[in-house]
Amino acid sequence: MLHRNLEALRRQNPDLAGTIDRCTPGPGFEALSASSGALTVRINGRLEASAEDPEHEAESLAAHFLERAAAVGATRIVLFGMGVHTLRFLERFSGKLLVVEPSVELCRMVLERVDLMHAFERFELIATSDRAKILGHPYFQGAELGLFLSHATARRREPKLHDDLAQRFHPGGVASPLSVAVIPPLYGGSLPVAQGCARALKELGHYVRELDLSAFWPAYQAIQGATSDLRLAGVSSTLRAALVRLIGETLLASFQLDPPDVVFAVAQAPLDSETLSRLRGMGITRAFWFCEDFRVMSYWKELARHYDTIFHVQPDEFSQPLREAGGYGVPLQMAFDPAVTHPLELSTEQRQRYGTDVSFLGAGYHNRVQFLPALFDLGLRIYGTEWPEDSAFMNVMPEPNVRQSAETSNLIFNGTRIALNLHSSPWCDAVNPVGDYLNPRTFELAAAQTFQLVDERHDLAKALEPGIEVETFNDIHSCRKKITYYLEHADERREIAANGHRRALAEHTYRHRMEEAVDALRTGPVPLAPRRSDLPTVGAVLESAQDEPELAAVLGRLEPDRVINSEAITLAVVKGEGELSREEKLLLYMREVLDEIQHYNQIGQTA
Amino acid sequence: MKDIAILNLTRFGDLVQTSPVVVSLRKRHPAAKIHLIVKSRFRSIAEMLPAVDAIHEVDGDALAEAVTRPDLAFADRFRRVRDIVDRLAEIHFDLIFNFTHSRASAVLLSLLNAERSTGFTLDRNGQRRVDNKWLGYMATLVRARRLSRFNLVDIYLGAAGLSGSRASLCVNIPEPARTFAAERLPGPGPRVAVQLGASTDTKTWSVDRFAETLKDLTRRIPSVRTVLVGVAAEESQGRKLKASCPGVWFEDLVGKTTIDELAAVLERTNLLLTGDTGTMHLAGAVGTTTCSVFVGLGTPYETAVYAEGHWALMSRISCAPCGYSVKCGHTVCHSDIPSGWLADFLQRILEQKPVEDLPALPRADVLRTRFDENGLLELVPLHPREPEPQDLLALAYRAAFLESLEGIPARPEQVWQRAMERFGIQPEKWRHALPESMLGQLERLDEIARHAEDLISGLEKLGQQPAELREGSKSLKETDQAIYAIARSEPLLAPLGLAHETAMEDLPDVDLPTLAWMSARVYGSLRRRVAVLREVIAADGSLAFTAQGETA
Repeated sequence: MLHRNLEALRRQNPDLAGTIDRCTPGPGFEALSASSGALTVRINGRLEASAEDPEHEAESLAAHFLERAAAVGATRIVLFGMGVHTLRFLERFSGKLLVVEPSVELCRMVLERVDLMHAFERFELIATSDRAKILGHPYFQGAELGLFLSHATARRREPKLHDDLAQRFHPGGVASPLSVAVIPPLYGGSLPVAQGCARALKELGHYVRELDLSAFWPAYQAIQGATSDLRLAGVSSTLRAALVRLIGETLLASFQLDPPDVVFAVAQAPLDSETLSRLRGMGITRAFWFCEDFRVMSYWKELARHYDTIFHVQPDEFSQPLREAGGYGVPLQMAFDPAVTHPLELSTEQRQRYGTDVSFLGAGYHNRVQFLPALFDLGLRIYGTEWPEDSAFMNVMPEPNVRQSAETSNLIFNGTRIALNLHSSPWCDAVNPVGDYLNPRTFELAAAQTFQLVDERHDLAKALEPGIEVETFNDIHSCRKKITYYLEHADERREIAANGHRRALAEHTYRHRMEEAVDALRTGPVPLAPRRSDLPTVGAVLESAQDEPELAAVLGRLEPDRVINSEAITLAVVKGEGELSREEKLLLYMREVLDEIQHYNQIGQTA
Repeated sequence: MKDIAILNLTRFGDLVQTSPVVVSLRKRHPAAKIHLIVKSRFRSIAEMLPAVDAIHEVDGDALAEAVTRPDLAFADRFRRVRDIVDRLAEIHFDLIFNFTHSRASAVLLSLLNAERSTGFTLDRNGQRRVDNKWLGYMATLVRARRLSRFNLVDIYLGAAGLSGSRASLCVNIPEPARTFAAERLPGPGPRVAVQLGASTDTKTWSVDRFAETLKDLTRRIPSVRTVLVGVAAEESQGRKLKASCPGVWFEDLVGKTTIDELAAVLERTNLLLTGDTGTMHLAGAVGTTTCSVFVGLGTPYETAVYAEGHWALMSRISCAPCGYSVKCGHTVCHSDIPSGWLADFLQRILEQKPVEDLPALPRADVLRTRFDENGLLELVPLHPREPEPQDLLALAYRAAFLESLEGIPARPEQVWQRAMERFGIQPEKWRHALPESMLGQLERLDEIARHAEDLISGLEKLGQQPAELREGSKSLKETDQAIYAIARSEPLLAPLGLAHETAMEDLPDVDLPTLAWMSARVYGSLRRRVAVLREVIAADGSLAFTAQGETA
């Protein structure tokens, strides 16, 4: 029996067949004869199957598994634990089945005595307790509707592994939408990044809550204004922390009734450790896109361990210090938002206003202030904020120290023949010799199909190929030289810009990044809660509830892409007229039951 | 009335507290079939209640699964919930009392098949409303708990029109359970049952304090037997207690009894030491004396054992009891019950000796249960002490609300007498024991309510003139805001504002003349409560006691 079973297994997994063949079960493994005469197994004194009639037990269990699969229309099943006889009775299952058995010894004992040749023609077996190896299997990444089932005995043997796998298995497949709350900063450069992320996540079909924190910005400014004297620095810091606390409490309150799966915070988002801890307590996955230079901005150290995943833009240098601070890092390059930045044919008026040979858009960081005056004679125009007042810069700034909107920035990009991009540095006078990350501008300029002359960066070639899709400089001389050359060679300039544009569209939109991010969250060390991962939309429900016209009539009052949650149910009922119908009451009852469960969860009781 | 149902989707203790209602309903309606609708998890306790003819279950676990299971399509969730509800809706009831203080239960009630229902219900717009005076009081005074003096069972009884029936808690114990208890607890006592856990952490007295008390008690009575009871989740607390109490004789039954076996075990003990728990009510139902330490969220004024001769201890710290939204991080109320004193107290109860000569606790009240002259439970302090303002006003509120809820005339002399017994305060001293501004505020409330009555009277005369009606309605709203402003500014007057607000919100959607008439009654009730308070406070005769007003 063993050899025949191993032959069948060898056809799908020769390594495992070899491992089982070489395995000798230890003394804790006992093969016993049940009352019915069939095989049952005892491991370390505990039975794996019935001592009376294990075959009948397996048949009932398999029927139950199949019933559950049929009820939800599952096309893939991951079964934790092989049981003793169960697989024989699962052959009727027409979908994909992956059996995960942590014990090779048990496999050996079963294969010695139970005919599984047909089963191995239909199903896959993994015999290991290596979590990473199991999670690497495509069934954990599948996009089809699936079920994670388990034998209670195997769960008892390996509870942690079981729970890990169960949590990481997404019933709706990897295509199932997440509910994501994108947390922007109050103000500043990362705000459009947050907007781009939110838009991209929506495009990917996720349910996105874009939180607008701009109402808190005046309070922040008021604090800054009231405590601008350096002697009040301590007070200023305390007040800002209090404001961040308040924002945190506001966010937590807004998540009480409808918590998202993921909180996706973008650099400078006002979330403190207290808020992050409590989000964790609510079972919400916390992700942070720290798209700043970790050497310049140090606040990440305090927050690192409070996020489940920190996306960052410095893959080589940042990973180690992040790990040391207790954070789990995933590199994620910056990107652009095609809805905002794209090639544009400027009107005559716009061309008069923004048309120029060379331009630079950005804030007046130290190295830029040192570097750029050497280009004034080449007709450089500068846009942006924080440039020295009462200086020569004012002569080359058409709109001195005015923050440009994303839309205007796009006009500026499209109006220039050569767009300079010099990454900021607070300590270098010119090009940072160890510059690694790429700023958003790198991708935006490519997206606008503008010829970009950028300072040399360590990671640039991974994103845009120098000389083909972008051009680079490493000092003032090479910069001047290339400006002059490309102003004279319009065709080459246009070709590089077009190449950069193609590459950017193909690889560097926020949509690409959000795909990577969601994928990383789903396969990262902290599992996403599957509970909220497949929030149904009105449209989907209406499709699946065609035989429920009364229910459809109530829900049909809502927009098709609205996710059905407590708030949506209330809205649907409120939109009705006259006395409540039975369906409306039933929906309200569902809402109340759900709210009650959430309430009891919060106070640590069962409903 | 053939089929009467009680919808009680609460917990173990609340179900035991339903027993006096069930028994009293049986007496009132001997031919009726009495149904109990409970969560499946608590069916076993429902089965122990006498006089129940049928039990119907709401499967909370199935409901939870239906609304939360991620792999279930929304339409399927809907169908599952509908199936659960439909099974209940197949049964016809003549009357359902909903004692469950939750929005979910109000919605469920609206889906059931009942000729009539009362309690927490849903109006036709889907808003929860309370159409029962007693349950309205319960829903309201939850926000002014320190001034409320009605036991939950009295509220249930009142809600069912059975106030003052004096029916105590009761359960049936099956013989096999008694056999189990006799086998586990053979021989003589004295036995003290101990329940360590409670439904929430904030209601749980610490294991260390239980341990100190039991060690001291064993030193005083070496023959005492400690019977640990509770659910399996409390096993670790039990282990910790036993490890802290070398020399104490334990019979550990934590997680080892069914609910009826627990009742039988409690029946074989002389005393139960517990927090505010379901086990406490069960002990009361089987006639075992209880001594309950109320900490955190719990207050004996709401949930003391509904029978005479039980004991409750409670800190007098100003924050006790905790508000429902509070998560206390500094439970100082726990230390206000000294374990040495408690051991002495328990010894005397076990030995049936007087306890009156024990020293008064400096920061806690020791309260004994008894029925008052109206058959309602009240708590009497073991030792008289100086009154706090809320102690006095709570007595006055009890009288005032009892009048509006049951029509029992408020008698100031009875209020004063209780205050004399408990706090040694003469009637003429009341005014000085309360905030100076209180009488003025009460007078202002009366003026405002009278003005509202005048407005309504004017509206009634106007008939159906839309513009004037709108204007009148606006004036009434402003009047209410003025009432709420006074009640908010003085926490001791909060019950007046809260009760008025609830009554106004719960006015039914009816024709204007009826609504005007009902509104006038609400203002009349407020005026009457104000009058009672003013009369009780101004015992020096400076105010003439108004004739008994109409009751809402």
